[in-house]
Parts: sequence; structure tokens; C-alpha cells
Amino acid sequence: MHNIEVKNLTKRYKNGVIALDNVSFQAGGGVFGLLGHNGAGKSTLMKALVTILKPTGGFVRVCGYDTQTQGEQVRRLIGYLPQELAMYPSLSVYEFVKYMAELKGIYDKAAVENALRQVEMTDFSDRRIGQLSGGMKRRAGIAQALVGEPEILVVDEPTAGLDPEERVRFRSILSRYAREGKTVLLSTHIVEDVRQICRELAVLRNGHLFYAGTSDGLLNRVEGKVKILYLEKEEQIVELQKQAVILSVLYEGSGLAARIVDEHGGFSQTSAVAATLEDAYVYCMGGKINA
Amino acid sequence: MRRGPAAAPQTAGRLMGRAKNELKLMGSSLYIVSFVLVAFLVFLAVFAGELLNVSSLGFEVIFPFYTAVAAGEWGKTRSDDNYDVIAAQSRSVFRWLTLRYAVVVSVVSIFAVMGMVIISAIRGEMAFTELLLSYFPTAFVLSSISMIFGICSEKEHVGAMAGGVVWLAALMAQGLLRIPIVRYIYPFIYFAGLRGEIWLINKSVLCVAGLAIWCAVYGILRSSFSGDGR
Amino acid sequence: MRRVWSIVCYEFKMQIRRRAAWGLLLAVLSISLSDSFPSAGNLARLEFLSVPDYFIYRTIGVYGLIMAMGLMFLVSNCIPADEKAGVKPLMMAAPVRKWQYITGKLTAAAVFSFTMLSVFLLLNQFIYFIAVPVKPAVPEMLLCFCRAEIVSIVPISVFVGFSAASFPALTDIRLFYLLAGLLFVFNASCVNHAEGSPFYLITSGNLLRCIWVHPKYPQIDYAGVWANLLFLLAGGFGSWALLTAKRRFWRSE
Repeated sequence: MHNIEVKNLTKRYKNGVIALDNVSFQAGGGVFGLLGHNGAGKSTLMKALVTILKPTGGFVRVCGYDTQTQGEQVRRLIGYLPQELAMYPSLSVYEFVKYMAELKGIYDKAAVENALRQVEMTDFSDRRIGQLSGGMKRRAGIAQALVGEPEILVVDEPTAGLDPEERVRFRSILSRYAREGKTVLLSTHIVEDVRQICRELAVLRNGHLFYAGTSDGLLNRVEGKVKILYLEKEEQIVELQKQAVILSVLYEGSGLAARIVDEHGGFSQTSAVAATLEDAYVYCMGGKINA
Repeated sequence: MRRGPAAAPQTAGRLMGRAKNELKLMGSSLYIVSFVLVAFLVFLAVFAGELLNVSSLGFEVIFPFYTAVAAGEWGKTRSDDNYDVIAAQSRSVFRWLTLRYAVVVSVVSIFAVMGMVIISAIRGEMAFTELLLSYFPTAFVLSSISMIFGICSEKEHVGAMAGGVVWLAALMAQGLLRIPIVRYIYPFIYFAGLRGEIWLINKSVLCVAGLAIWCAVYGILRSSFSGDGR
Repeated sequence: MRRVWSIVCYEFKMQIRRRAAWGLLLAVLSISLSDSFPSAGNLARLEFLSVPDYFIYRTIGVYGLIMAMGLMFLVSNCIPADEKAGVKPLMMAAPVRKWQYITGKLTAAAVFSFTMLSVFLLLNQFIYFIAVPVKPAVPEMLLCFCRAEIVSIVPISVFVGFSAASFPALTDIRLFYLLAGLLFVFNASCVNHAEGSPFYLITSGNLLRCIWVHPKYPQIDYAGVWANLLFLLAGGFGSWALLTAKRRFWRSE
């Protein structure tokens, strides 16, 4: 059975903006990545999943429980880290995590200590949140989500703005947690995070689901089609845009090296390179792939 | 308080543009709440009996309190989420702060003046010029207190709280008017029933006190920033 | 109820740690003592200052109002700050019900107001006890303190804490400050009246007469006492009910 089941999920706001349009996917155990640019609808989907936003249509089931009719049961199963969490600067890390644990109905001090241990914050547990660095604050945030070891961990952009060391630490925390048989839903726009730890992923663009499946499946869409084309002048880029999807352009010597997706094999003077997940994602955002 | 080798001369047009930006940031709630207060005072002027001096209560007591709250709330300084960005990049924090203060107090004062015109026409308790003189110095000193506390604390509402507490404490310290010197600094002198020559001296002293607070604001900002003494 | 208790405890902890709260206490304490300190001059000026009950009556009636106003500003931000800090979505995602969140927040605001007002009164009373030339009996002072706590500080705290914490979540915080300012100005102009007081007074209403009555007007208007108590409690619980009834405040289920 899939732990998360999203079926025809639609969210239309009163001002007419459609944040989610008929989105459907399923997620089992492990880390499931939710990729998309800013404003793609990732946070809306997460809010619907954690029961704080009522969808206009469709449904979300968490471990078989409907988020709209069985919200109480769903909330007992999830840990949630929202995108923007400043927390209370006057509380210590330990106090804040304990506070959140108590609101979840967990009054065991060991559970709090365990969560802090998992995010390597035991030594800083007495420190006030107002005195923490950005990375430590995010770790305190994930500790409150981990407390009580929820079946489903929902984390919204947890690595945004963190330095590489903290990002690596974060990824290992999430993958370690998923290894214990739990489901982690990771929303991000950083492809590297998904590539490192997610077996399956979904790509959202402007509220639509563009892809859902394994990361290899996404990669296969551009495999063998990514090429490097050398250009002499910048003006050539405009012409190139009409014929291929440009992934990136780098200045090399006196010319330019354009990384493109050559769908029809029309470019002869190119060298093929191994495709990355980032290539596949950028290609996806270019709107050439249909789900 | 300036940064860089030479500050470009501020043209009136540029200043107006910045003032417009500040107004946009404050949003419509400033106008709505100000209008509600004027409407309430007009209502009071129409329906309150003769025993209540609505003019002095409204424009020497209530409106200056509101001006202090407005300066602390709409004229946020250190508690503004973008304070660090502004402090790091603006030519002068003092100028920015003064402009923000001037914009808030101007909007509130326009509503106050409108209320004065209407209420002086309805009640005739105080002449329009008397109302102007009773309002501005008191509002200036209380709103300046809000500003100085606002610049000292990065917590929200501290400026408004300081202005409000000083306002209420002063209001309740009417009994101290028995001490002659208090009459020169008491902010609600007309409301307390003391008129005559002392009235104008009192209002002049309040203006000086307000300016002294602004000098202190300048001093705080100067000591807060490194470099060429912003 | 354990969740409500948790919210009360942690919210109270955060409020009590605010330096502005202790700054307010010190400022109002110095103002109150500059007026009511039992010095020879003040004892000569204020006829009943040597009576401990009168001292408490005056402290709450006059300076309690300034404390109450400062506390109102301090607790008014507790719910908007949760939204700003991103903690509200976290609470909504946890198994916390709307009434539990609101009750916890408002009760914490009331308990905080109660604590600050009690400390303010206690410090005033302690300094008075040390300084007054004719020492009153300690049990008499304690009894008077307890009476003041029950008849005055508790209803004031319920009114100030509940309304100041809930209204900013219902309307614009600046409009709330303005409305509160108007109520306080009417209170300030009615302080220390020996005759009957309007029911809407916060710190100097008829309830205060249960602590001390002017010898010239020894009768207590019990209807006025009940009306004052009802206003304070109904104002507090009414604002709780208004916030609880507000739609789109919590998750939609």
C-alpha cells in the first residue's frame, strides 16, 4: 500500500488562481521528492497533505486516511516542517521541541532527546533559538518534526539558503530517517537534493504535474539527447532557441558553449554528453515533456 | 548621518517619490483607522452633552495618542523586517526615519485638521487656531517618544507601548499640576483647564522637548553605525 | 486539557522573559511610588495614606491602569506573532484543536497579566510596609492583598489578557490600540471618584470599593459591583467567544 495517495487534487483560490490542477501521484516508503520552481504549487500541495488547507477538488490519503474527513488521524501520523519557520526566539531549542512534542501528545522527555540527537543538536539544546545560525534553526525545525518518529515526514524546502555542509547534513538526516521504513516527502527546487536521496519524484509546473516516477525515468527522457554546441557569437543563441531547448550557456574562451537537448538529432557539429537530473528537470520546465 | 563622499542634493520631486513609496507601504489601514477616529469624534461632538469638552479631549488627548500609536506602528523602524537592508544601503538612516515619521504624522494630521474644522463648526468650544496649537506640540512630543523607543528596540509594538504608557501616565498625573513647574511641561494643559499665558509657553516647551528627543534619536543612530557617523 | 496547559506554560514562559515587561513594571513602580510613597509629605497630602487598604486601593485604581495599558500592548502581539514566525501552520498540522489553541493563548495572556499586576502590587505593598511610620499588622496586609487579588486583579487580568490577545487576531491591531486607548481615556478621567462609578471602568470601578471605601461614602453599591465584574469578565470571555467563532482562523475541515 502507498503511504501517500494524491488523486485529482485541485486547489482554486477565490481570486481565480489555480494553485493545483488535477494532480495525481502515489508515494511509498523512502524519500519522495517534489520538484518545481517557486510558485509551482509545492507548498500548496504540502499544506493540503498536512490538513491545513482544504482542496477544491480531489483528495489526499495518508496511510489510508482521508485528509478532509479523517484529519485527526492524519495529524497523528505526520511531522511537518514548513517553508518559513522562525520559531520563538526566546525559547531554548529543547523547550521549543518539547513544546511541539506536547502539542502532538508526546510527553516523554526521551522522545525529545532522541529527536535532538538525530539532528545532532544535543550540545546546543540549551541555546536560545534567537542565538542560532540559519542552519541550526533549520535543524531545530526538523527536530520538532521528527519528535515522536512520525510515519510521514513532510518537509518544505528544508535546504533553501543553507551552506553546502548543512545541506549534506540535512540530506543524511532525511535519508537515515527514511531507511527506518518511514516516508519522507521532500519539497525542493534544488535538484541536487533530489538526485542524492530520492528514489521517486514528482515534478510540478504552474500547478500541473509534469512527471511522476523514478529519477531514472525522468533521466531517460533526455538520455542521449544532451549535447554541447559551440557558438561563436551571442546573437546565435536567439536562432538556436528556435530549434532546441537550451539548458545552459557558458562562456568558453572567445566563444560560447551551449548545453542543449537535441530532440531530433538535427545538430551534427555537437558532442554528446551524459545527461544529469538537472538537465532533465530544466528540460521539463521548458515544457517539452508531457506526462 | 551621510554616507559616501558627497550626498546628491535632494530634489523636491525625488523626496515626493520617496514619500509616495512610504505611503504605499503603510497601506489603506492608516486612512481607514484615521477616518474611524474622526467619525467617532464627530459623533461625540454631535451627541455628547455640554459638560464634555470634546474639542480639547479629542485634539489634545485622543488624537495625540493616536499619532503616537501611528508613529510606532505604521512608522516602524528597527522592528521593520527590512531595517537591516535599509540601514546597510540607504544614504542616511536618519533621513529615512525622518521621512517615514513625517509621512505618517502628516497623514494623521490631515485627518486631525479635518476633524478640527468639522468639530469647531459644530461645537465652537475652541477656535480652529487654538485646536491646531493644542494638537501639534502634544502629538509631536508623544510621537517622538514612540519613535525613540522604536529605534531602541527591535521588538514590535514597543514604540507604541512607550508612547501609550507615557500618554496615560501624563493623563493621570493631572494632580501634579499643583507644582508650578509641571504646568510648563504638562502635555494636556488645555484639557486640564489651565489657559492664559502659560498655555502658549507650555506648548513651546513641548516643541523644544520634541526636538530634544529627535536630537537623541540622531545621537543614537550616530553611535549605532560605524563609518562616517550616520 | 494537557495541550491547553502546554500552550499556557510555554506562552507564559515567553511573555515573562520579555525585558519590556520588566521595564514597564519598573517604570510604573517608580511613578506609583513617587506619588504614594509613605513619606511625611505624602502622608500629609493624602489623608488616608496611612491606611494599608487605601494604599492598595490607590495603587490598583490609579497606577494599575497604566500597568494594564502597558500589558495590553505587550500581550496584543501573541497571536499575530505566531503567524509571522510560521508557528501557526505547525500548530495546525499538529493534533491541536482551534479552541485549545485560543484558550491556551488567551489564558497565558491573562496569567501573565495577573502575574505582572500581582508582582507590581506586592512590590508596592512591600515598600509601603518598610517605609510607613506606623507598621500595620502583617496578617492584615496579607488579607488585604488577597482580597485585592480576588476582587480586582483577577477580573482585570481576564479582561486585559483575553481581549488584548484576541482582538488583534480579529481586527487591525492599530484599530484595537485606538479602541483600547479610548476606553483607557474614559477610565483615566473617572479615577478616584468617591461617588458611584460607571460599570465600564477597568481598574477603578465599583469592584475596587470591596477593598476600601471612603468614610464619607461607606455604602457599597452592590449592583454597581456586579455590573463592573460582569463587564470585565464578559468582556474577556466575550472576546474569547468572538475569536473562537471566527471562521478562517484555523484549518478548514
